[in-house]
Amino acid sequence: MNGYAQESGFETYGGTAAILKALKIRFLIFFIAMFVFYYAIFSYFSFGLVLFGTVYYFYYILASSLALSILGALSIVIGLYSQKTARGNARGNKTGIYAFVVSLVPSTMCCTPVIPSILVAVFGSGGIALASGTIQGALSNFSPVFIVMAALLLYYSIHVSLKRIKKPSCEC
Amino acid sequence: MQKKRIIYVFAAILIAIALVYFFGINRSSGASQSFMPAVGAKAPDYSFIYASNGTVANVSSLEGKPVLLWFVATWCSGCAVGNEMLNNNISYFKNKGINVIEIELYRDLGYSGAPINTFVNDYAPNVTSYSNFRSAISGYNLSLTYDKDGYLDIYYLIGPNGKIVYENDGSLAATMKNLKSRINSLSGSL
Repeated sequence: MNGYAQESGFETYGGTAAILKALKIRFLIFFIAMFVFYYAIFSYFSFGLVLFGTVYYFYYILASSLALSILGALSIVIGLYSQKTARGNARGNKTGIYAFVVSLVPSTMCCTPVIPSILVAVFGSGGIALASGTIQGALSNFSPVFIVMAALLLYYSIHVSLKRIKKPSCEC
Repeated sequence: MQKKRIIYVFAAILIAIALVYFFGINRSSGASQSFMPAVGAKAPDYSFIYASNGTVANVSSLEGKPVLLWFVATWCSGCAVGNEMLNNNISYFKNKGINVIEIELYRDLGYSGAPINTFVNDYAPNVTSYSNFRSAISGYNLSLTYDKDGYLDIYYLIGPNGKIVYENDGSLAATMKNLKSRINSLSGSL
């Protein structure tokens, strides 16, 4: 890794590549597990069907599952590696969890009884329950925003873990 | 710390699986919920508007033939899948003498989607050529009475005498098999 790369923040790519080379089997296992999980969940809920149409929603599911599983597997592998090689707090870990939750919000909260059940529990039947589409419809329409948010959180999680590996004593 | 992280990840995965099971797969069991008018009771008589010509009609006007009332929202992916499923099964309902009315819930449950006609044409283009299919828009009281908890994708099978003979709060796509099995078992009485 050259000096420019180390100083400019591009060390993340070199660092990621080196760690991946050492831990490729572990990465592959996590990647496959996460891809199967995301693809199954997104397919089951026909995630993005109304937004992208009958043909293109398949590509949306595939691209989202691929992106999230690659970043998620990287986050886990590099996070675990950073735990071994450095001391520091668990911010990266928590970011990964947040990303996981964010990635599942639109697919599991829209078009399921989750939101109506919460509204009925809080406000009772009728009235506000009959406007549950305000939340569910928005989740459905803005689902790509949630996927991008989850991807950014995972990227941040990876970035924090790499920084911890590079600077074992830092409180990052 | 590493153990704690693994526990967090597994807990999150378990919660996600539990959510999917309880709110997804478990819904397709065929069990109806207490928020729905009871099976065996007279179908409550409220009005809706046929999307094709704007005619106002009442549930009671459907008596004389069995009818499937299916409540949807047009921004709902599960309802779109239900339309695809209905597209493949509309001839079954025709052969059984069952009318199908796909009803957009009141104001699309508060979030504006495509008009019901467009929604049907996009995901179930064949059904519009069948005389036993019509799409409609729900009045407030119809949605409030048949779906007071605001669930998506629920349906009722109403007999020719106007009594509810079967209902399901699971999605039509996921429970089509259950519905057909019920219709087959009721063949003589429908």
